[in-house]
Amino acid sequence: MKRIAFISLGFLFLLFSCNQKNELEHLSNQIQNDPLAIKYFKTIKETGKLVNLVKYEDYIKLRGQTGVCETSLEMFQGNQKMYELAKSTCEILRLGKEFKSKYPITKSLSDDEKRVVYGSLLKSGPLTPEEIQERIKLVSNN
Amino acid sequence: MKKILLILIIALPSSLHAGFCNDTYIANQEIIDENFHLQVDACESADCLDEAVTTYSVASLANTVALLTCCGSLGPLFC
Repeated sequence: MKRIAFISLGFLFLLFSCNQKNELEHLSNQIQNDPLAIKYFKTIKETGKLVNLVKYEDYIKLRGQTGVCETSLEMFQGNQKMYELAKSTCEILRLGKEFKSKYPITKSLSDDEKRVVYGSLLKSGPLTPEEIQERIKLVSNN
Repeated sequence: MKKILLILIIALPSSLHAGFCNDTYIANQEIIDENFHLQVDACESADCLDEAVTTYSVASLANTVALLTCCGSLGPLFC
């Protein structure tokens, strides 16, 4: 009797695991082909690139207590990249809300599950030698 | 002289190669970037987002400094 119960439990566990795997694969296909998700992750990547092209301490000082969505070019003393960084961060907030209300299940996924579901959307392309040089220049000037 | 050269060649870690510093920098940056994307995705408030960007900025800066240090100590061949 115990043996039957044990085998049944094992079978149920296998069935549950397979079903969960299929659900993740389905979600992965859906998200990776969704223009909203593509735009959301593209904006995150662009924000990351901008972070590496500005003196972040100066950006924080100039922004002060102002929210990312209430900034202006004048606030950053005409520094276009800093202004774009604030705008891009604000855009992440907007797209993030939209993305999470469309895919609420992603909120309960672990980082490893997200790596599977988001796939290539999470990867940033390899840096070009020019981008590396620009970053080195910024650090050397500090 | 030959013996010293031989010891040096053997002692050099096999992972060291031309462009080693740059390759290490790019590989580390990819990990830093991926973690940043995950951290941002986990955020639901502006404060959380600010924190993620600050963490990313510090990690990225440290990686660039490591690249400069690597190039400075190993020489231009490894950059």
